[in-house]
Amino acid sequence: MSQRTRARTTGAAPKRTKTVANDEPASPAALPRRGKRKATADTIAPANGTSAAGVAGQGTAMVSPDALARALRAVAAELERDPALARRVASALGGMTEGEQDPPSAGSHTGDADAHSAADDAPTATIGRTFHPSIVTGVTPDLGSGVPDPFALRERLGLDGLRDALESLRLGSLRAIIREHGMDPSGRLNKLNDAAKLRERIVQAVMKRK
Amino acid sequence: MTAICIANNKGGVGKTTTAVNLAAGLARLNYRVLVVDMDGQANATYALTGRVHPAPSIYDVLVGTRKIETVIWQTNEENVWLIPGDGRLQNADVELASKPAREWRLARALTGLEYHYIIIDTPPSLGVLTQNALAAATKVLVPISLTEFSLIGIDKLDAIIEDLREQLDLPDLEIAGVIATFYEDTTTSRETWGILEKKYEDRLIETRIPKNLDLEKAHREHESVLSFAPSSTSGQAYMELAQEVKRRVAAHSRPYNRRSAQAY
Repeated sequence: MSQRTRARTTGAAPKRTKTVANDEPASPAALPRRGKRKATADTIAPANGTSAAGVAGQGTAMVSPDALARALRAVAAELERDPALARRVASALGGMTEGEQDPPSAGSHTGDADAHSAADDAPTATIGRTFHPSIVTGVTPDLGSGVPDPFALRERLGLDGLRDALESLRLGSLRAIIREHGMDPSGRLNKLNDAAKLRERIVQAVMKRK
Repeated sequence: MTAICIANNKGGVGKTTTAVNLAAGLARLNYRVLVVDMDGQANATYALTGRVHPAPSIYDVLVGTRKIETVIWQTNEENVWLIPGDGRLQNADVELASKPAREWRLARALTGLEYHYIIIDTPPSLGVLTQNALAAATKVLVPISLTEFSLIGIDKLDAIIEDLREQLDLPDLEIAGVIATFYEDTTTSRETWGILEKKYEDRLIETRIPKNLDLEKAHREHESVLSFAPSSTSGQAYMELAQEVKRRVAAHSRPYNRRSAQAY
């Protein structure tokens, strides 16, 4: 699946999703880790921009600020002293900090270049099994209820608007449009898993009917 | 019309996946199927239409501001219709608490509709939404994942349904089948299957639904796995499941009429 197709998944195509799609790592193995890291930042970071430690402080109102500071310093010292512990804690928190890597499982790699070459060497068989979820925020523009009507959409939004609307739809909805509006008498398109071709077929059918 | 409730108070056991793909399977057997999404997460709605928390939905019907005919959608699957759910259902327990005959609101709303099967997807709880679903159904299908946690608390499920049968006076409500989901060729899966076989005997549905990435991919493409990957292991399994459910729970073409609902 292309990056462009992945970016379309969100429908509303929020900026954040686009960024993920654009700088998506080549390594399939690297993607879940990146996703996890982003989610962690969103989850842990408080809305007012204070640090996670600040949040911890708010949650322990009965502890004096001095005691809390001492405890955090002790934890920080222990984490610096013991990298394995630091990795386990980071993993438990949901991800590594920027620039850090998981411990290498076989051999070692020290930077992006190595990571990329590892991705290049990865067996392609795993790529087809990789699933790239993305944030779903809803479909825009308003498509009404049920199977979208491309003729009504063209009427309401114009041809460019129709194309935009179709971009936000996935295979199931595209197939349903083609089926419901009799755009594929032969039934061949029904078995096609190529959203771009289905979109084009719908646009052609709408233009033809004009 | 035969109404089937897909229920299990555990989350993540494959209720929505089963509701969506079983509906698509029955539709491929030339039945007209209506899916009712009673879960506030509205995942069945998303999987069948690509819409996220649309309104109006079944919520508006339950609180009495809409007629059910106005919220029936055609879905991406041929012969499958949907009454969508939306996030407001998560407040339904509170909002319906003071309404009279609150457990019967779905059954009353469905009265007169003409489909062969109604498949009701439920939230992972036993609140008023699941009670409405059970009151509207005569048969219950219980998906159980073949994983380590699945056996914890499973013995309570029968008791819970028995309680509801008495509370709501539903003598004909019964578990028509237990569906094993997330099957893998592992010791855990096989042992769990063995335990379920002993416990449920002939109520255990023979078809096992494998753990398969195509199920997730199909949801993402807003269609059933029978449309997305019909020859995949999960696609074939759901088609077999539809055949088995058809044998166990006969379809009726009569309009829906839950007699008990009329008493309220």
